[in-house]
Amino acid sequence: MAGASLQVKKRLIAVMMIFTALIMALLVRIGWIQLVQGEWYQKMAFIQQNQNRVISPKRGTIYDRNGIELAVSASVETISVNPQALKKSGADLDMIAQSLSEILGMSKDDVAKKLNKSSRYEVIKKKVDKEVGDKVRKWRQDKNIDGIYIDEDTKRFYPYRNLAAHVIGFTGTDNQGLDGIEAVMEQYLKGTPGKILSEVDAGGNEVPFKEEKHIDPQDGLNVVLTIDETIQHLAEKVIENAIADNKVLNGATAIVMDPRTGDILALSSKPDFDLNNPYACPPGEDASTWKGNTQEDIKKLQETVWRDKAVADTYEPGSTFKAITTSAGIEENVVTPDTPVNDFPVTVGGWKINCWRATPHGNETFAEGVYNSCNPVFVRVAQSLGVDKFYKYLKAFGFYDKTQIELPGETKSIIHSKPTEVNMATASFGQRFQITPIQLITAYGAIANGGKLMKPRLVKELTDQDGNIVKKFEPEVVRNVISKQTSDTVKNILEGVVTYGTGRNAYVKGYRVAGKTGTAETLESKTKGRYIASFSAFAPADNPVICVLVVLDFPTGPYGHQGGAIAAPVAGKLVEDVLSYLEVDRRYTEKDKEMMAQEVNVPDVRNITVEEAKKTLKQFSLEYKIEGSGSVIVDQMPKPNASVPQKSVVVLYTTKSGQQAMVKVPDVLNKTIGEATQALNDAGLNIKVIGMGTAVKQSAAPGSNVAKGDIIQVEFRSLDTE
Amino acid sequence: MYSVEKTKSYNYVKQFDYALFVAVLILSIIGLFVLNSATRVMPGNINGDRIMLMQSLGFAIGVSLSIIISTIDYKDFKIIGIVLYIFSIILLVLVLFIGTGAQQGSQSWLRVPLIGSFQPSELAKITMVVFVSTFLERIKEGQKNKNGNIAKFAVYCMLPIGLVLLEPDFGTAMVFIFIIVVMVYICGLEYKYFWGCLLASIPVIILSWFFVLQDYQKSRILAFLAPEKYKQGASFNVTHSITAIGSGQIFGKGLYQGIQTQNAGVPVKESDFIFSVIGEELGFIGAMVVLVLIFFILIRCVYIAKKARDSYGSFLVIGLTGMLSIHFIENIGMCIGILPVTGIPLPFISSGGSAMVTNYIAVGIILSVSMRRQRTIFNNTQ
Repeated sequence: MAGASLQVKKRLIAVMMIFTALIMALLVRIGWIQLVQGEWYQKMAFIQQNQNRVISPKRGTIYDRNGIELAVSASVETISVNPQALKKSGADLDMIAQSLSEILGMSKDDVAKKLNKSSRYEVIKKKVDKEVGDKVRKWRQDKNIDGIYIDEDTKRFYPYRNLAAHVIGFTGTDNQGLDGIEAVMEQYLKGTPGKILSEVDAGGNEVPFKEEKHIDPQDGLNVVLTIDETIQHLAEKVIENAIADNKVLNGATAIVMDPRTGDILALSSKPDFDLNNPYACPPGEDASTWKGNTQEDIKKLQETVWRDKAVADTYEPGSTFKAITTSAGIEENVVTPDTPVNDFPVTVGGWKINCWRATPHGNETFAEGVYNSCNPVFVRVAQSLGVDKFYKYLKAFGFYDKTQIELPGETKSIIHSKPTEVNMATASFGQRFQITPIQLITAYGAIANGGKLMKPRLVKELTDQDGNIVKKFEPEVVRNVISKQTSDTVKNILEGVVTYGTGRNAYVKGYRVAGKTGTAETLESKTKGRYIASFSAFAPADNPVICVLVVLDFPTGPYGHQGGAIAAPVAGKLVEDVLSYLEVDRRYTEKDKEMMAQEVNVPDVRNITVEEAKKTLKQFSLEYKIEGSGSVIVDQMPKPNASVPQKSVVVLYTTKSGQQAMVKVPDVLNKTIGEATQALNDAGLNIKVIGMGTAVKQSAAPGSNVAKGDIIQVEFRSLDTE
Repeated sequence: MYSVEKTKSYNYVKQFDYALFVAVLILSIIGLFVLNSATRVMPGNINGDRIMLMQSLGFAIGVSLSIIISTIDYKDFKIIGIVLYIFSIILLVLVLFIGTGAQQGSQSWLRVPLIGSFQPSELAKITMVVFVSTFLERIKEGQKNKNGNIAKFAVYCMLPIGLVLLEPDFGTAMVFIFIIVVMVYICGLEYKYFWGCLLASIPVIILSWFFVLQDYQKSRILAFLAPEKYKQGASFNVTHSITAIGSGQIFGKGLYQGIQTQNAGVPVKESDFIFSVIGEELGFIGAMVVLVLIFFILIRCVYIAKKARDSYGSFLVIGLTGMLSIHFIENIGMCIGILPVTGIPLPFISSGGSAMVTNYIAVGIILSVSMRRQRTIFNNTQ
C-alpha cells in the first residue's frame, strides 16, 4: 500500500487540467485588458487621475460694442481643508474654527462642522477675495498648520451692476452661465479647463516623486455685444425716471435698435437687479425671511427682477400696431396717404368699433386718420385687405415667430391661428392678441430700413485673449416685407404722427422723429385699471439710424395711462439723447428755428459796469432789473449761458449783500405756455419751456423760495392724445 | 491505532524540492517589490513603511518556518494536527468575543502583543486540512467504520466553517468549502453527489440572499453582475483596478512608476487589489511572469500530491493546494473583473505578515510531503 490510488491520480490530473484552464482564462482576460484595450484604459486612467485637479480657465469677458467691459472674471480664492490631515496632526480644531470663522466672516459652528467631518476634502468657503485669501495664508503660516488649502478660482464681476442685467446675465458658483448672454454664449465664454498632471494620492497629497506637467487651460472667448454702454445707460435712465414719474407698477422696458443692421444698442427691463448679487431680496419681499436659494425664492426672482420683459412678456401692442396695418394697406395699394376716409363707427360681427375720441374726427385723409389714431379707419383698411392678406403681412413682419434674439426665455406670441373677420378687425388696431416688445421693434425696424425684416443681433463677434476676431455674427435679413417705396411713405406718415398727431410729445427739435403711440388694454384694465402705455419710434424719419420702443406696464401716475401722454415724451427724450450721443446732425425745420429764435443764452455780465451790462443785455433782447446801488455788476441771475425766452428779466446785483432777493414760486401746473410764462414773470422769475401743451411738471415746487430771476423749468405735454 | 510509517534514510539536501521552493521565493520577492511600490504613498494615516516591515518580517519567519517544517516527517502531523486543530478552533471562538474588525464587516482579527493582528481563520485553514486529511485517508483506505469516519470528517469540517460564518466572513468560508470540495473530489466521491450538492445549493443561495447576506455583500454581487450600473458604488474598486491594469499595457509603467495604483486610483491597492499594481507597473509581461509562477507552483503541488508516498500525503497536499489556488485565482479574477469581490488576498504578495507566515507553513508541509515522495526510478506500484 504505497502511493496514491489510480482513481486519486486520475482525479489529480483532472484538477491539474482545471488549474491550467483557469490560469489560461486569467491570462486571456489580462491580455485582453492590457493588449487589446490597453490604450483605451490608458486614457481612462488619465481622466480618472486628473478629474479633480483642474485649473479653471479664465472665462471670456463680455464687452459692449465699443470695448467697454460689462462682465469680467476676477481672481478669487477658495478655502478648503483636509479634516483627516488636521486630525492626524493633532491641531487645535476649536482654535482653527474660531480663527477661520473670524477671517472668513462665517459662523464658527459652520466651520467646526466641516472640520469635524471624516472626509479628506471640505470646502470652507468659495470665492473669497484675494486679500482674505492672503490673510488665511499668513495665519496658516504663523500657526504652522497643515491641511488648509487656498486655491485659485475666478469670480464673475459686473462693473456696471444693474446695467443691462437681463442682457448680460449672471453665472453660478461654478462659473457656469445661468442667464442672459452668460448662458446663451456659455460654450464660447467658458473655455477649456487645464489639468495638473502631477499626481495626487487618495489623501489628496501630491506624490513626491511625480513628474509635474501642466496642461494650460484654454481661456474662454470674449463676447462683443452690439449693446452700447452709453445708450444702454441713457435708456435705463429715461425709463427709471418714467417709472417714478408715472408710478408704473409692473415694470417697464426700453429697447434701442439700429434698424439698418438689427443691432440691439440697448435693451432694458425694469425692475432689474444687481448682477453681482442676483439672489438678493427683490423690492417688495420680506428681507428678514429672504434666503434667495430656496425654490420658492428663486421662483419669485424669476417672476420679478430676473424677468426680461423685453422678450419674456407678451402684451397687446395697441395702436403702435397701426403702423403695421398702414404698411400692409399701402403696400397692397388699398389706401394712399391722401385717400379720403372717416372715423365713423364700424360694426364687425355685432361689435361696434369707435374712435378713441368721444367726438369723432369725421372726414379726413388716411394720413390724418393715422395721425389721429382713429380705430375705424384701420378696421376698414384691414377689411379692404381681407383676412388672408392682412395675416400674410402679420406673418411677414414676424409676429408668428420668435425673433431668435440671443437671449434665453423668449416667449412665443399669442396670436390667432385661424383668424376670423372679428379677430382681424381688432387686430388692425392692435388689440386682442399679444406679442413681445422685441417682435414689435423688429417689425418697426423693417418699416424704418426700407422693408427688410432683420434678425435682432445682440452679439457682434467673438474675440480671443489677444483681441483677434474669432467669429463674426453678420446682420441677417429674415425676409423682405414691404417695398422701399412703401417704407418711405409710411415713414412720412409716422413722422406726421409726431409732428401733428397723437405723438406730439415725442417731438424733438432738429431730429425728425417718426413714431406711433399705443395704449393697450389688459385683462386687468376693467378691474384694476391696468393699461400698458407704449411708444414706438425711429429717427431721423428720412434715414433712420435708431428705432426706439418704450413700454410702461400699469402706470398709475398723475398724467394718466395714455401712451401719447406718458410714453411718447420718454421715447422722445431717449431719441434725443441717443442721437446727440451718436452725433447725428440736427436739422431744424422753419418752425423749430422760429421757436428757437425766441430763446437766447444769457450773456456773462459780471464784473462790468451797469451801463455796459444794460447795453449787452439789450443786444440779447433781454430785460434787466437792478438790485443795489453800486456801479459794477457783482452777480447775476440767471447765471451766464442759461437758455431763456427773449424778454426775460435778468436780475443784476451791484453790491455783494450776501443776501439774494428771494421770491415765492407760483403754481403753474395745468396752465398753457403763455399763462405759465406770465405767472412766473410776474413773480420775478424766468421760465424754461420743455415740450408743448399743458404744464405737467415744474422744477421748483409751488410755494418754495428761490432767488429772484432764477429759471423755473416747466414741462408741457399734449394731454389731448391717445 | 496504527503505526506511522516513516521514510528511512534520505538525504535532506538532496531530496529537498528546490523547484517549488525557488518558485515560491521568486514570487515572494516580486511580491515584496510590488508591495513596496504600492505602499510608498498611502492614503490617510496608514503607515506604508510599517506594512513593509511587517511583510519582510513575515517573509523571513515564513521562509524559516517552511524549512523547519519540511524537515518534519508529515506523518507526525497526524498527531500534531489534533493539537493544532483544537488550538485554532479555540482561537476562532476567541475571535468572536475579543476580535476586531467588526467595522470593516467581519470580526475576524485577533490582536496579539508583538505579532500585531492576525486572522485565526488563516491558521484554521491549514490545521483543518492537516486534521481532516487523516479521516479522508481512513475512508480511502477502506478501514472499518467508514460511516463513522465520514461523519467525523463532516463534523470537523463544519466546525471551523460555522465559526468563520459567525464572524461573519463569507469569503473565507467559501475558501474552506472550496478546499473541502477539492479534497472530497480527490478522495473519489462519486460525481452524482457533486450534482446533488449543486442542486441543493440553489435554494440555499436564494434563502441566503434574502435572509443572510448583508447589503454590502449583495451590492458587491450586483456590481459584479452589472458593473456599468453600479459604477460609483461597489464596482468602483473593480473598474479602477481594471483601468489600472489595462493602462499598464505590454511593458507596464515600470516599478514605482504606476500613476494609477500609486495614487488615488485603486483602493486597498496594498492588499486585495495588489494585482492591479502588478498589471499597471509591470505590464502584461510582469503579469504573465506572475501567472506562470503561480501555474508552476500549482502544477508542481498537484504533481507532488500525485507522487506522494501515501494517500494522507496526497490529501494533505491537495488540500493546501486547493487553498492556495482559490486564493490565487479568486484574487486575480476579481482584480480583472471576472469574479466577484470577496476580499481574499493574493498569497505571497498581498500585505499581511501573518498571511505570509501561514502560506509559508503550507509550503513547508507540501515540501515535507515532496521530500518523502516516491522517486520515479523506484516507482513500481503500477
